[in-house]
Amino acid sequence: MGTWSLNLPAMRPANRGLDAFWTGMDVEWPSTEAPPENQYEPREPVAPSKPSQTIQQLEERQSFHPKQRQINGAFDVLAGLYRVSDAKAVNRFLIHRRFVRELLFEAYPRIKRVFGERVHAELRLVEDMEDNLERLRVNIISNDAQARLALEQFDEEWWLDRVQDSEGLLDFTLKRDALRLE
Amino acid sequence: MPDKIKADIKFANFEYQGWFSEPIFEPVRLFGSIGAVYTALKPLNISASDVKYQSGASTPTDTLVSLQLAKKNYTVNLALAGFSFKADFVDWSQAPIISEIIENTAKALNDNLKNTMGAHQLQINMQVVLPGVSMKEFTRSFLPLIKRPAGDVEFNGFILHTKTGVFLVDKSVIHEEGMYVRITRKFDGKANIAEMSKALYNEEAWLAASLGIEMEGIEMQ
Repeated sequence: MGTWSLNLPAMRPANRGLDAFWTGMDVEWPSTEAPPENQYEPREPVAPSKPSQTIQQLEERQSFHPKQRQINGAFDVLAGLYRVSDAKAVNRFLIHRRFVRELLFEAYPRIKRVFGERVHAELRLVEDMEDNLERLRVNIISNDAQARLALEQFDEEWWLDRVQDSEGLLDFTLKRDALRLE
Repeated sequence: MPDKIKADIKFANFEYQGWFSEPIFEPVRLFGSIGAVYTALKPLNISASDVKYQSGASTPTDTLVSLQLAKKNYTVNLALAGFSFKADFVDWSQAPIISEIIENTAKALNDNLKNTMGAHQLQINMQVVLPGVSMKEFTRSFLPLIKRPAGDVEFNGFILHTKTGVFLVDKSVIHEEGMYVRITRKFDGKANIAEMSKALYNEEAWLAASLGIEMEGIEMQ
């Protein structure tokens, strides 16, 4: 009886297949190590299909979207909803305050519902002179005569129930639009 | 009990798919509903230039119209069989606004098309790195008893099918020693977005707890 052997084709590691499928990227697979002698029959190396990019190229491309991009992702979305005054400072403030970000995401559709679709909301970092603490202020910009009543409604319907979750680092106020004074 | 390993999430993406109870087969009906969806998304600062018409749709599941939101980080895709939502660079703080978008889009479509949702699917995709721990080391305890020559195999993940979804943990192709995690959860058409979101959150929390890792913003409820 001859020696038992396996003649396995050189194949991509199966466990990488779905990952590559999801990323939609064609990746050059590292060559598999030659099996120990007398284990497998020697085989002809199978050349991988010509890759569009190697792992190194992929990583270099990723460096344009590094970890920072994931961290900034939530802020980027917020900046698409709110106007932001001094974006760098506001981003720095929000980066490690997930609970404030969550309140801002929750507040936005409520602001639009209560104050009207055309209203703008602005994020601005303010410093409390008494305790030297930075807080985030949401200025709801409106010249509407009913805006004060709307703010009361906003407070009663949502904000008063959630204010304790902000740990005193967030507030909502009205601001008149100086460019659109009627 | 050993300390949990704090996971570094390099990238996270969220996908939602909602399928109508009865697909519509007349594109004109869907095109007639774009206005309603646009109006529903208007509070989120959408503008006409954010609406993109796609060409080459050959099946009812292919996207006919895309609506981009929040500096193009969010996309709503409309098709004859349903609609989908995709978001990149997500974390759980964005759940309230994402839920709002999905809920409002579904309502606008269902009201306009006189239809209902038949099924939903939510999915999270993540690239995760466990600082200082290699994937091989991390998954050593999962290694099944397969007799192979020493050093010939590595256990680099798993796929777990449940009645309502799939957990997939795989070796990352992007990050050396990192892992790719996919959590898929399916629901019937009656489920609302709040309960679906909560269930998906709990699935992620369960996976993190089972693997002994800590993910930012995730706590078992």
